[in-house]
Amino acid sequence: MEHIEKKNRGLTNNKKSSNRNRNVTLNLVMTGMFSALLIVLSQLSIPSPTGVPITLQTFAVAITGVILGWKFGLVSTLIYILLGIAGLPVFANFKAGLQAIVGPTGGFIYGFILMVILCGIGAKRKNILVGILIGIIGLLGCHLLGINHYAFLSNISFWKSALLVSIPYFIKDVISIVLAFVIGRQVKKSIENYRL
Amino acid sequence: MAKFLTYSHDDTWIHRLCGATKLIFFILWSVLGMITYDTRVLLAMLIISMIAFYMSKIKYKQVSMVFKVICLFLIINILAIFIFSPYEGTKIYGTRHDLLHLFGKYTLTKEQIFYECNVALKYFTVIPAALLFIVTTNPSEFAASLNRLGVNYKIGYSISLAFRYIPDIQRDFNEIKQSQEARGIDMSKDVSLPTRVKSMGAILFPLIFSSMERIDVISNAMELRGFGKSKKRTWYTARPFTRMDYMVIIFTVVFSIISLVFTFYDGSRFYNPFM
Repeated sequence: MEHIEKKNRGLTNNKKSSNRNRNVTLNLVMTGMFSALLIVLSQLSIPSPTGVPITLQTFAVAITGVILGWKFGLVSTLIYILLGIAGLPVFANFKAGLQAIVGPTGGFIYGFILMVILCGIGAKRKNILVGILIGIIGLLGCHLLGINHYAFLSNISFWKSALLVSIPYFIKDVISIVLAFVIGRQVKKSIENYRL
Repeated sequence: MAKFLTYSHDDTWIHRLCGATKLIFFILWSVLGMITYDTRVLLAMLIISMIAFYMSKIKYKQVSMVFKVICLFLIINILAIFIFSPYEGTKIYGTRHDLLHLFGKYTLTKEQIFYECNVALKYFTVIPAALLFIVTTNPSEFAASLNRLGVNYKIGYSISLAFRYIPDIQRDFNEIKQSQEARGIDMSKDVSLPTRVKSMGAILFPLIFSSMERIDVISNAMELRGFGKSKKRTWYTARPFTRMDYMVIIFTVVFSIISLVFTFYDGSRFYNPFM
């Protein structure tokens, strides 16, 4: 009897470690796949009446945070940024290399790190409006980093920099965040139902 | 959307190089291209990049889309440099040779043209190396090479997955887009912006779902094969280092050292032909 109990205990432990391993594998695959999704979506754009195309880079980063959560969303975004820094043309409009980070709009690229974290945290909230608000705070942080970076490099004032690189694009970025939360929530809900 | 960042199976000596060799070459080449502004070094790098690109037998149509977009943004970048800093070259080289007065404060100088040519050269030295690395390296071999360079194999595998599934996600996007257009969803410039955003949603939703489905299939397959059970793993696609690999690594390291000495021997990373 004791022997059978020991055997069962061993099986339970194996099951636990197997589940843990399953989660690790699943998260690893999701991280890699969402990095690929980030790369592809960054090259897509919607033509707009103003002539400034709406790239899906912001949307892609936000939805990565919403679906993967802040931790794995961060890893996925870091892989994306590191591949870009290494010189692979993965950023919007096939930009690449360290010059993409230290260049005029580089602040927005490393600002994605803050944005994906806050989108991931926002996605955990029950109330979608609170989640979106946290996501928009992340976007605001990303834009502030972008404005500061551009102002520093171009040797111009903060407000002039904001007028050039942030304000014209802020509304479409807010729309991207809202869309990411709406679509991301639906996807997560569907996945949970599918897994059940 | 044209395919980009896609591995092409071929049998040239560049394809036969170990992934780690190509990674070392690519990283050193990129770093060198970013650091130096010495025209002589950049020209040497450009010639080597072009020769390697030619020898790899990569067809231009495989990289044409990426190349065209990069060229477009290079032109925008060069124009932006001139608009925001028309005397950057004069500042760097310490001399001024006017060629043509355009209007207001804008005068075209030899120094500015030379500086902007160097900026363009920097692009054209690194881009062929990046495209060469992407198109000639098998994603699994890329993971193996990262592992060989000391990166944890799980992280390496995650990066190689990102690499491998770019073409698949692109194909999915195109298929979904075409099927939605066949159902009457309009994404042209004729419709309003909200309609276009809505239409994009009709593409993104299935795209994300197809990606999630793929994630499930891959993670199940990996789980069934016992992925992640051990601290180390072997690689089916890993290649051993050959004589050619060692030669390429030695050449890259030696070339990098010589180039850096060449770049910094006079205390500046800019080659100045105006002195």
